[in-house]
Amino acid sequence: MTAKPTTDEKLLRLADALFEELLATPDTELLAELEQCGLTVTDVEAQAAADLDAALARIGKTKLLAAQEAVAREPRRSRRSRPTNMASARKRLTQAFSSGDGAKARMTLAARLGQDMPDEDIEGLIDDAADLGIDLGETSEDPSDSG
Amino acid sequence: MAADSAKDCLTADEFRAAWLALSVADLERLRRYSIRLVGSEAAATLRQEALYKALSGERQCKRDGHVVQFLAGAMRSLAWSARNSAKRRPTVELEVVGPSIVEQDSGGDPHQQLEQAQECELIRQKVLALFDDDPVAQVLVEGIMEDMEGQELCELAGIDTEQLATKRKLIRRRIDRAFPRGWHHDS
Repeated sequence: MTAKPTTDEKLLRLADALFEELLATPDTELLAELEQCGLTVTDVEAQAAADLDAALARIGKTKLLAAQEAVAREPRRSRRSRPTNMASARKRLTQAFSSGDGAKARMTLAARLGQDMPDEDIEGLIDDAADLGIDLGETSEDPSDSG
Repeated sequence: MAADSAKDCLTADEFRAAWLALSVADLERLRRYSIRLVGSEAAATLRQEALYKALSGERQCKRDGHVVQFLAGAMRSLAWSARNSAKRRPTVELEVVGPSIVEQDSGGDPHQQLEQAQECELIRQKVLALFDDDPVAQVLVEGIMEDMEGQELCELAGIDTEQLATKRKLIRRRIDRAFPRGWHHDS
């Protein structure tokens, strides 16, 4: 047995019928009614443009959120040149910063490398160097690494 | 087959192009229907939600389909889903938050559903009262609300199809004037 329609279902049916009538109404007639409602073609176009912008913005936000979630799910990007021996890493960096042009200007930094720079900063510098195409990674032969 | 159905549907770019090509009259049809479905305050959000569904691929428009009717169907479905969710949980009401329509728990009121039903009945009576001077139109409105259409309506009112078209136009215009911002906001 079909359930008796509720009043809001009846109003929905009426809304559907009104929409069907709108579809059957010629465009020119509808545009004339628009003026009677105090609206212009520009108003309708502006609303439509705003609707599209809002929908596209939401798609953009959804994509951004998905990308952020994907990044958050992935394990932290492994550092490419994480040194296993910090003493050796400090020595390689000191040599790198002390050689070549402008070495003098970089001496302060080079001097610090051997002293109070934290291990995390050493690792960061090695990563930064790797980003610049300078390989300061672990070397297989470094006699000072033995101890 | 999934691949076939995807081929039969507009891509997001194609849908966007089809939407941009809509006439002002079609945009106005969609605007008015959105108002009729959820009221003027939530209408833009409803249209944007339907557009979002289409452009994001959540709902796909058939290549041989009509974009206006596709969007109208999407809006109807969204509005009705929100209404049904609210009915399942009487303490929930439709609320516009940002670009999406969400259901908002309003804190629980067992009488809310009854009040809404009473409000709908009041609206129905107001709509019928608009045609107190036109018994044919009035019986047609009642018939439409009982899900009658076409020939059935003609037989109900004792009119032919041409007269039915004329009466339908009169009904639509009179209701649009009386409820310009939706059912719940009569003028």
